[in-house]
Amino acid sequence: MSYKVFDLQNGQKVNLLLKGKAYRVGVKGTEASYIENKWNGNIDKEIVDIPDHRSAARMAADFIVSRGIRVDAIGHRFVHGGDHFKRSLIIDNDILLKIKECLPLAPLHNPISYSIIQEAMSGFKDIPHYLVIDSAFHSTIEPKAYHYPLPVKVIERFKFRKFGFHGISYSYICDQMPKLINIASEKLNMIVCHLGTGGASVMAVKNGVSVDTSMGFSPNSGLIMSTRSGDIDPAILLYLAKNSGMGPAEIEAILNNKSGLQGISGFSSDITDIISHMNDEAVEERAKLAFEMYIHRLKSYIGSYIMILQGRLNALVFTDDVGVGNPLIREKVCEPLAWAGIKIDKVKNNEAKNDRATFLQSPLSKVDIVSVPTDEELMICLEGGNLLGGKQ
Amino acid sequence: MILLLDSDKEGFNYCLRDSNKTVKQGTEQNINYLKGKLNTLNKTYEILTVGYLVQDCGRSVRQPVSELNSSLLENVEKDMRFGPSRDLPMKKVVNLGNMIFGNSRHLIFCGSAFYLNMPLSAIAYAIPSEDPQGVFMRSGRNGVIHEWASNKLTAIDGSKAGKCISIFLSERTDVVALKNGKPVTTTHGFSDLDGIMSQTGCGSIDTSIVLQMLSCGYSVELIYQVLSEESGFKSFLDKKLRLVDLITSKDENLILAKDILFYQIIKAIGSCCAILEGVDSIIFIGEDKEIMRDWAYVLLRQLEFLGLKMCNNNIDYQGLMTAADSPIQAHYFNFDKWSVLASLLKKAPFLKKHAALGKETNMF
Repeated sequence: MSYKVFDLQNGQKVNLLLKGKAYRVGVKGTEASYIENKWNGNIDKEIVDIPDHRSAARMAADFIVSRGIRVDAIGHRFVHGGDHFKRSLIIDNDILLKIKECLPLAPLHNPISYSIIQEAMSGFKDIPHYLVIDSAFHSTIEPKAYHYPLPVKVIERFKFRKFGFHGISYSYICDQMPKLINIASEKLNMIVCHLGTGGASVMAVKNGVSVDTSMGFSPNSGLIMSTRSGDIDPAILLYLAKNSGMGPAEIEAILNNKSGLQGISGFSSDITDIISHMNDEAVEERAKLAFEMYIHRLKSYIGSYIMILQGRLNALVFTDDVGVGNPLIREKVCEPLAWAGIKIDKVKNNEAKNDRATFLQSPLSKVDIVSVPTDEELMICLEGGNLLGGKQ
Repeated sequence: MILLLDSDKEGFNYCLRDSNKTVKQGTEQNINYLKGKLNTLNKTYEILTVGYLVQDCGRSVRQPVSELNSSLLENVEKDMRFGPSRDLPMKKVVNLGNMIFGNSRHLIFCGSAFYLNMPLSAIAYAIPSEDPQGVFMRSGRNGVIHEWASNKLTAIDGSKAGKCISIFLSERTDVVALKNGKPVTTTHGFSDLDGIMSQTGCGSIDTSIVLQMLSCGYSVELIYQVLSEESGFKSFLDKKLRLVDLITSKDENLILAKDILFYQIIKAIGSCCAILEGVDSIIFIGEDKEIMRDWAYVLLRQLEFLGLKMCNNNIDYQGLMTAADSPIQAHYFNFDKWSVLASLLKKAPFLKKHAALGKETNMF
């Protein structure tokens, strides 16, 4: 869970006052959880058991209040609004009820967001709270990419389609990249890898807009993630339902909480943990397999997006914690892509800082390779400025 | 004479061959009609060998063609892991063949044997398992066909067989990346549902779709029925269509279906390029029809940016679609399933041994 506190004047000028992030919330692994708050060049790091995201939100709220900051409005990222929410909106009691209805759509995210919203609304009662919807950014995807070839009656009943997620982060990257590589937004073609410590996805951008992304109806499909399986054969679920005696909730729990890197490695859901154990005799084989599968899936998606963009690619972008923080992943993903004009400079890659945009391509590369830290909170803040009329 | 049998969405297919020629072939809609047909063939012809094409034999069958005995059959049945998608119709056909042709030699042609040595990172799914090589793995399909195409390419120009992408255009299209003739990744999954959408199958979909349907009271059987029999091309017109019919149709409802199929194949080719770290050759395998070759050209034109030099839609006698000096070559290979299966028999060493001894054995 991360947060930022901004001073937003006239809906446009933004000053960052305070930011914080809770790490390894409820994560099983070899390292402890902690929360880190940063303000005015100060860093406050507390190693503490953070059992869930509501607790993390409470710690963040306590810290903000302790700094004497007056909060005028709170914006919340909301992953999956299904058919209920297609744009940002202010939360009232009716909206809270609709949010509850959306919880099963993204079982790993929506319940967490709901618990954080509840915590924030109980701690900051008399100010507006608003939702920014993560899937809205992908509304430009064409039917050939979002339609599932299922019977019409099934599509209509369940509203099945690819929604795509991480839209707030992608929106930030699409805002930044034209400036970074000096190209008009409407001419920008790129592939963006949003690789987080929890979720991960890839997006293809053509002429400045999203044309495809790896997540689908839910945030469980696509890449292999920390505890999420990513793409798997639907028949596996049917096999489990028929032969294991498990119900849909139990199967969903396996696919969301016990699969992905955790499921393959058997010891950690954290890719950094896994990489550091690739020479550990006790778990070496599983760690290497988890890493190889993670890379295999990611480069498969990148290859498929290079093809739909017909090789007309301005940039390959890595973002979010793993994307900007893990040079080995970037190297292993880029190495096999020389056929598409993508050539990484290993020195630049290894020396890249995770708090600033860094170019990683070799002089021979036809495509810019860029590591860009995302800023979802800034996008949420600006959206709030629009929504609340720039008065907050 | 050799009798070859398989099953697909159209029904139960048979082909009787003698000295590289097809004597009789056809399709029966149900197993009882097939029984009648096989009895007639048994009375009319001397059938020494019966071959069954089983797409997924799990890990029991490690060769493209094997003698079928009772213990092998038992293992294959154990490996048929998920009901209807696992060649259960072929189980009926094998039993029928054994009953009618008790004195013949029985062979199994295995579509999945080709893929047994694929890298684990390409076939395992990211779900918890005590054994990463456990039940849930990509099995691959049409291995017999892709291997035949790869061998054919090697015979034409071995220098272009290093990094090859093989695309089988059919009612159940699949794409395979081959490195030096060995598969390294495939679109086909644990079952027929995964991969590229098919005639009636959904292809890769978000698994939350299955969970939503289960949560709303759909039974496993009903969901399987929806995903495997009512989806894919059929979902657009509520009518079963062959690939040729789909790509030639002018029906407005099918425009999206064509777009999706095209899009999925192109994406699969891109994935293969990334896994192979480039590509030397692309093979399209399909029916001997002009419209299919034209469609393969349309697909190929999307790949020109890779450095392909196109020629003018005139495929030469070796199926070459690109200019002779193209750095990446593409071929279209006309495919006849029965000829491919029959050609495998010539290469099976154990059959040559039997022929030398001049004996036929009832393997059951």
